[in-house]
Amino acid sequence: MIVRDLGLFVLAIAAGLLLDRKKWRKWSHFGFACALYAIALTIWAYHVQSGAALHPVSELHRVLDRFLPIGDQSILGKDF
Amino acid sequence: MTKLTSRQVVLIGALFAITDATTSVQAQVASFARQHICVVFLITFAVLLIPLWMLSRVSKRFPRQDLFQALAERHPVMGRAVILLYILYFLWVAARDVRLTGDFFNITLLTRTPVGVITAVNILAAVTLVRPAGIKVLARSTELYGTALFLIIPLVFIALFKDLDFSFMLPLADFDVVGVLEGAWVITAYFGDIIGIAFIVSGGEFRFRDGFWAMALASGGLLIISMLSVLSLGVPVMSTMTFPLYEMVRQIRITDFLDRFELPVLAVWATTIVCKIGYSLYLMCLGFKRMIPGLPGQRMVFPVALLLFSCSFWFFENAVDMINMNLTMPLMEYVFQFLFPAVLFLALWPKREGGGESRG
Repeated sequence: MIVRDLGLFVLAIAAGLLLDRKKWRKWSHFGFACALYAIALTIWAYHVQSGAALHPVSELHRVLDRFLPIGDQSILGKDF
Repeated sequence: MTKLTSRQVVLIGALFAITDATTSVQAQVASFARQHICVVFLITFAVLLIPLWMLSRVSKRFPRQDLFQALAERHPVMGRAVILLYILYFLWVAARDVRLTGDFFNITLLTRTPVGVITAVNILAAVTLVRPAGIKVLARSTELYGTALFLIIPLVFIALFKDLDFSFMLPLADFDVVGVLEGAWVITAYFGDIIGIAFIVSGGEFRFRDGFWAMALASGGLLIISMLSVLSLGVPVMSTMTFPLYEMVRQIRITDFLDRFELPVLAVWATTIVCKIGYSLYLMCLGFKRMIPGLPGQRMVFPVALLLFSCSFWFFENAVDMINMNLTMPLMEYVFQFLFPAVLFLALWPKREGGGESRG
């Protein structure tokens, strides 16, 4: 499963590089695109391999949840 | 520089605000504001006019530039830092939309299809809209599907009219101010995405009037749909559903021919959410283009889309978490929707004649 998920992602990156292969005016711009691909691949690899222990927005929600007295902290707000 | 017509700007703004505000957040708003849900939309409408007015004033000061460009030129370092923050904001908005749509379709219609496949298809659709011609194709798609989405509202009203029970509005006098304000707190964060139009429209062409009508269309449309939901389902039922508006549309039966009226409605809604993902994708690419001079924005679409795909899974732990965070995340979103427009309004104050810069 992990190999398949990573393989498909690498395939998508290859497709993207192939689509944009022409007319890069500067190598630094191409390097920037590659850096974005690398970040995306790293995040994806972390997500599929570790079962992702850290989810940044969910963690931020848990931190803020302690300070905001809104609702009863359940998914459906107040009970009737 | 692509010129957008006034109608396109209004529809883009309305779609920016309304598309994902029709999902599970409706249940939370109903549980807070109860039968006075319509007041929530009036508050949201009034409050969001403030950042739209400020951004329209800022846009007018730079007649040949977009807001990102103006930021990068006036304040090369801090301006770029703000652009980066806005790129992260639009990444977050797009990741939320992608994940919401993926989870929604996985729960309601495509139960055997992995969320990853639904997500990939959504993002690929947005890429095909943005990559060839930037905002031009997106704006034309918006004219088609946005109009269709807003035409559905009177159709739903006509179809549901016989099932409406006006006693669900009672007691009218039992007005819970705190509940209404909590409802407004939750939904305004979704509507606040509308500030994106100020960044999309370039060349000082973003007028407050367009923002006003976009907000009026979005909040008016959602007000009608939410009221229909309250009047047909009732507040206690609506607030315990994950997707109350979807359940409401599922109730509609117009002869055997339109037995599944929710399918055409979902088809239109899905295309509008693809458009919204497209706007966020476009804004991220535009932000990178303004941050790094000469960077071809068109070639950024695919890398940014892949980043969006991985972030949509990484950011949020599960579908339940996404509903829970509607209560807390507004705090972060309001920084970009209210605080930053005020900062831009002051930081991009017109320069004094004679070279000096006013402090604003």
